[in-house]
Amino acid sequence: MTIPEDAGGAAAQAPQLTYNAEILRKEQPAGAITLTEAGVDRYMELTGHPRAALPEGERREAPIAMLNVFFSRGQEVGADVKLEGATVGLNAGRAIELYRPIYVGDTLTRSAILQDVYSKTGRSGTMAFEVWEILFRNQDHELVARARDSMVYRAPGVAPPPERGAEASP
Amino acid sequence: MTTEHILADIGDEIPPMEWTADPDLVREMLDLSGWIGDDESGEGRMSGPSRFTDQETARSEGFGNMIVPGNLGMMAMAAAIQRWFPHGRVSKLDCVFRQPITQGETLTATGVVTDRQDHADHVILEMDVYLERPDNQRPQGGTAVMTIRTTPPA
Repeated sequence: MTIPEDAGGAAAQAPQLTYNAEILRKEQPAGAITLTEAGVDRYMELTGHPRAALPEGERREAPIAMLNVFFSRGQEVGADVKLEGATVGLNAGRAIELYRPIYVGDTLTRSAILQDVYSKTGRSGTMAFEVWEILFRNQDHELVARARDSMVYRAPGVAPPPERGAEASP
Repeated sequence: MTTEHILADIGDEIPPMEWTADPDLVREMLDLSGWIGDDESGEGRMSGPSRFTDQETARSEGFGNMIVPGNLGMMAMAAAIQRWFPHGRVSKLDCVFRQPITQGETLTATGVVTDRQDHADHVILEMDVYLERPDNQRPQGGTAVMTIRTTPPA
């Protein structure tokens, strides 16, 4: 079901924002990824991330920022946000919080929750925002990280504004 | 090593790291992310040209040139912190993508320590982090928290 954001229509002048409200605040499975040694090596090489010497007996950790690699592979779909004239979607911000270390060899299962959809109107027109929460659990079903990801939809050629509150924790 | 050996204090600058996301790097990262490349199984793959891989698409969306995915800048900021303390663990990272970054532009990843908490066997640093252009504009910025252990875990 696709519904308008403000069906009551107080803001009659603003373009109508619609999205798929059926998935709002519902946790959806979003696939899994295994952190391989080769993948972590490649990530570190590409980003200039240093590789610290590993103390004896410790497992190799993957950096928190590597979780950035595992976004947008299917989890942020289904919101079907539509705003007249806003044809360009951009990532507006992201916050990631790590609760437990993530290790090479871990298989992380992702789930995604569409937390919010809203619009803002300013000098450059109306923009739509789509806010997702992404949960990462390891093979022992432990919540290892939580992320908050924001997309902005706007007309071509308009710079995105800073997104409100990018904190990862609710 | 004791916490006194962790030489970072409130107001200290994160050692600047120069960073350029050229088209090759962007393609490599998109490949690693499964957005492009040989892995046909990934959902959410880019279908056709995008603002990250095609000049004309970027221009049609109002950008002067191909742009860098926002999350790459976040990775650069994390790398700058990690270069400072390779044994530290970044446990929190948040970032606002204020302005698009054009592929090939050179920026500086840096920041400043805003808080330090000393514990028996570790130090927690809170930092403001950002990417800065030569004209001092900051297209991306946010905060980070890093924990640095002083003794190995039991």
